[in-house]
Amino acid sequence: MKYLRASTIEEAQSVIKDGGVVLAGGTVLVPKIAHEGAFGKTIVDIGRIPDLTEVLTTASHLRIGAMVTLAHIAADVAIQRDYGALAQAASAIGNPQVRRAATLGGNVALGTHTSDTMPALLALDAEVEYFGSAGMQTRPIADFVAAGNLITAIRVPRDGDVRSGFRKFAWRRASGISVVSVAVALRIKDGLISSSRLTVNGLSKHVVRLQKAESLLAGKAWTEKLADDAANAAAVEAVSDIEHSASEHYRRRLLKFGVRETLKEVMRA
Amino acid sequence: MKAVDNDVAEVRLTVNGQAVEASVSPAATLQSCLHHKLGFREVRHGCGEGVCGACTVLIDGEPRASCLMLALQAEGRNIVTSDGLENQDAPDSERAALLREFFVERQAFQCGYCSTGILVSAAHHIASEGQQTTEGLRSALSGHLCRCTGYQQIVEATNAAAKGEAVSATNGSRPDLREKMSGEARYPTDRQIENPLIGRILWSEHPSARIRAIDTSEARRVPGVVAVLTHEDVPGRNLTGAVVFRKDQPLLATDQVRTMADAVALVAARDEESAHEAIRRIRVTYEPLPHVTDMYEAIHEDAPEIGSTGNIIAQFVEMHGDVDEAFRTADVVIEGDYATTLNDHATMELEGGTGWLEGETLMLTVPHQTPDTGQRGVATMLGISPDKVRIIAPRIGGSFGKYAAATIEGYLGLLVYKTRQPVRLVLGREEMLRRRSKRHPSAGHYRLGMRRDGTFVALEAEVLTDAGAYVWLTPAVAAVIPAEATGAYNIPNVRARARGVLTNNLITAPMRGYGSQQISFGIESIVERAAHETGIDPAELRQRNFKKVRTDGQGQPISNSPLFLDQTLNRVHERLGARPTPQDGWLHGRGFATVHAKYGYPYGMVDRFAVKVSIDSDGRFAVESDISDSGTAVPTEMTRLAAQDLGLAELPQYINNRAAIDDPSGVEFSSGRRASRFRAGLFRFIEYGQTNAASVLLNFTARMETRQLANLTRRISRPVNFFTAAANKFKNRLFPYNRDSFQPRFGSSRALSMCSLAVLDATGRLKKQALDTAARKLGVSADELTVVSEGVRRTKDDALALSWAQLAQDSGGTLSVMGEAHNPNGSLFDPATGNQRGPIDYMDASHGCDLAVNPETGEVKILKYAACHDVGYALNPVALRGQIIGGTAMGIGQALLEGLDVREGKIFNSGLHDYHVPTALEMPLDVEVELLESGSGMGFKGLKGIGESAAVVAPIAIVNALYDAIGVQVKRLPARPDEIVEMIAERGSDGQK
Repeated sequence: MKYLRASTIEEAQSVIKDGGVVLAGGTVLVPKIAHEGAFGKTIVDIGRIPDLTEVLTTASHLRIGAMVTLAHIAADVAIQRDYGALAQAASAIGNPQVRRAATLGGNVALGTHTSDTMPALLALDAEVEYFGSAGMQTRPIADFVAAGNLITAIRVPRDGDVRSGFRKFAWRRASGISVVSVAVALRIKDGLISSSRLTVNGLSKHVVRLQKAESLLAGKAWTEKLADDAANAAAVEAVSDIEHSASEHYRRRLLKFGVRETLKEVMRA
Repeated sequence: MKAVDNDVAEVRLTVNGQAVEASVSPAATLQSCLHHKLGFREVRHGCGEGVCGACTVLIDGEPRASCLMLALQAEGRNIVTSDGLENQDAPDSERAALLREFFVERQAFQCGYCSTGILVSAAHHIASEGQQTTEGLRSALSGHLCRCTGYQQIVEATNAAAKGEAVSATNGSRPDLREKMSGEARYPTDRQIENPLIGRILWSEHPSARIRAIDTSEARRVPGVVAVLTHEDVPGRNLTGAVVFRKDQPLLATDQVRTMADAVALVAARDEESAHEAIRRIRVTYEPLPHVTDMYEAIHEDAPEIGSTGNIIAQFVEMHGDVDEAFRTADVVIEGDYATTLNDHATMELEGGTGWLEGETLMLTVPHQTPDTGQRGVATMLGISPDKVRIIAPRIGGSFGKYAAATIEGYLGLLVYKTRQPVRLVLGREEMLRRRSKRHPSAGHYRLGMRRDGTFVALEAEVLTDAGAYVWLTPAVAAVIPAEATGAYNIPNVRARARGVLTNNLITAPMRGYGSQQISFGIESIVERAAHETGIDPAELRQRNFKKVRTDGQGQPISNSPLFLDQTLNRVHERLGARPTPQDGWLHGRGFATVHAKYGYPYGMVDRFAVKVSIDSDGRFAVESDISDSGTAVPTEMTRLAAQDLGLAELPQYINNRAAIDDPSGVEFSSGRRASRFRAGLFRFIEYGQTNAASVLLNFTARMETRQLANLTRRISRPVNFFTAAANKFKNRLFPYNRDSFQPRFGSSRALSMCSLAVLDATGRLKKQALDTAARKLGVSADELTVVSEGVRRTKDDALALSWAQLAQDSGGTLSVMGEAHNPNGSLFDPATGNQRGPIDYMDASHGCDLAVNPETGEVKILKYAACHDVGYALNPVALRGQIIGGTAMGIGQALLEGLDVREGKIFNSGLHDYHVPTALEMPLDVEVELLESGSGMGFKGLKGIGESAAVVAPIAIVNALYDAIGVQVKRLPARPDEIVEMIAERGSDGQK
């Protein structure tokens, strides 16, 4: 195996486009290398590229560098306050040691249904900023494809009216793999829910939005009954197309419970 | 850009304040670099995926898993290992030192394998957060797995250190922990020797298949490969595993595989990658055969035959009274099916070790609870003399019964023997889950007959237990099941049968409370069901039927041996107090369970404990025995007892004496001479005759009709008992310190009860010898002298006559004595009934808990938990509490978390991320432990075995509480949240409550 330690984004990307494998936090890749070997692959370590570890607030966005750790995000008071779903998702992953290593960029790059930050980021309408063959680009998180690209940051729109929350279900409280996770983001304007984004992970291959449930909430004033209705709608509309040791019926129950309780929690806060 | 394109790269780090440099493979993890290249043995390896935390170090001041980082990634970083915590800047270093003291004082660890990682996280937590809530601390430690302790004493010790409490002056009761908390301690998988070859195993691809061809030619051509071995390379007999009852497992598969646990080939290579590659390039041509993985299918006549004599390999029955008549006249009859599943022992240390040649002697550092069988197995396989093989493992990172039988010593031994080079063979966590031994699963049908007032009158139990593809120790496990069928209860009419069955599943090894766990779950479940169906309070129903006195194999009471089962349950009941106020939307439940489970099961064998106590010419004391340390504190307790009895201020040194293991006659151990070949051979011959007779009898009776079997055992009971006793007596007389070679030398619940007696026997003899020596030297009568802590005093003027050092000098440099203790030599059968005589004594305990269930998600929260154990006598109450809480944690895992995904003989779990050993967050905040000291045990001051009981009783108490909460009984463990939700739905549909 070949190991490269990149000092700039450009250097890293030049390796990635030729099939190099990005080494970010290492929590997924390193065990794989240790267990199976890297077999001639080139590993490019992006841990020393200086500008990937910044958290910046711009006029329109919160910009989190790809190499910012989940532990950092979970502990960041401003993120906890304004982007609750993201902070909660970050703190629900793995365990303290894993969170100190795992990065947001790495978690997004996983892109599979094991990524717990994905539902939170999709609910918060985040974008991925990346460096690819066409230089620096930005794309909505749902459309992003990791292959050949180097994630440089995640950008989350700033909106003081949005409240968000997240919930994960796993068989174990620490180091648990999520069975189902849900995130909700509500935009509250003049006492009404002007818009909402509800997302779920664990029923299909990708994190999906629950648009029927979202439309149920749109324009409504908050009541607990509304949470029940949205949760019921969410449980019905979610498409299930993956195998899991827990039944689809059970995972829909978790989805329903998760949406309802997270909505309530968000509104209580 | 820094680029490394070589096999080896240099990496510079600062470790514990020192600049260091190492050459590593680019694929090497930081953990492997620190441990193997740089020799920081305190940085341990448990999972390789950031779940267990054994490899935790500070990287630039933050606890991180060093297995999740490549060594090259760490270039230039500042690393602090647990051994370096005290070298940091004050005041953090002082806190770390205090923390270490508290871990010793509170006996926070047992096997200690996880301790170095936990030290790092706990010290960091105190330094960064100061005094915090217990919940905060549990979260901070949730990236660590400890299989022994249940975390509670770790959390308590950390809290005490955070508060800056004073360490108690009476500390030091677990001095072994100091070593375990540092790189000084050597565990089998630790670095033993520099740059060994790397061994790997090619496992079977099918649960059952014929092997058409094995082609290793390509694998041999991989650069860096030193050896590729198959069955053709086995120089002696191609056998491994537990060979007590049957020699049925080949070390390397020849023309057939019978389980996914079969090894087909071995590889040794210069590095990990070449070893991997070679394994990948071995071509095995299989022809899959029909397999059977269900026990009920396996006993069917048409089932594919796995062993040489059918799939039923052992049958044991227990019968007394008139069962049919009792059921006919019973007012209520309750029936149910209950099953226990396989569990992984999930020892924190991986299985394996290093082997090398010292001259012609093969040295193996592998975990093995019965090193004698291990050594002889390797010798037979290599065709060499048993004294040319040594298994060295004074301590191991957990066993829980797993290493009562193993095969790893054979794989490693063959690799070393063939390559003539040091080899390190350590299995990965995935291999351990998918290929290695599991707890015996069981399935049973139970019928309980009772009178209207709740008095039990009859029990019928029909149990199968799954051995997997090879017999191993399954007969010993199956034997326990009928012997303990009535559990804690007095039931006059019993018919119980257990059969061990071969399937194409994985191999099975004993696990904490073997046999007892399986049958206790069944009997306690049927009792609980009886309570629910008759409306009698479950605690009251138990109280009404508890055994009051111990009974022998005929169901007859033994005089002067009262039991205190009722008190254990009363105490738990009282501790739980009023039921907690229900939380909105959650279902609440309370459950109890009581067990009466064996410790010390002689099975007619000689189970002797020999201890040597010695003083050298400087007056230093040592306690030597062949008992190794799996974390149960037995070795330390032996030194404490010796110190206590002799009034010593300092604990004697403990020496794990290999001579006692290598030489079964004990002659070398006791007097420095080795037994003659003839004597050693004679001992083996008798032992062989006994085990052979046992296996013939097992084979002969395995498929007999129950009544016929009982008749046979009754008829042969007298001669069998006579010959067993005669043989044992002969062995005892000829070989003064012998024991049968498959008696575990690590822990086991009986160990302390026996070792305590052996130590006191030795100290007693030492005092006598000191008096005699002094009397001779001084020319006075021994009556005029007294033994005191400094040596021997003249009674009349209280002047010190001879110090211990002088006594040793006068005895030729060392004064040493042997002490011994026997488990009562078992007589196998009761002549009146033909039933087994059973164990020598029982562990009695009750557990109870309050829990809440979220009916929508199935989440379970244990709100309150209490345990009361009759420990006989509490020699070390803190250690006992640790064992009980640790067993409870294992029970919580069994009841709620630890599911193995097994389909068609294959296991699909791949690591500790999906085999859910409980973390600190899974534990109730406080497991309340009460020790009852009845003085009724077999050991010193009547102390009893304890180690296994909590793990047996805890899961049952939890599922009984679940039953109470949701109104549906759990019939198979573990009860995962989705299954709980389903059970609640089931109740809704058929209205059961």
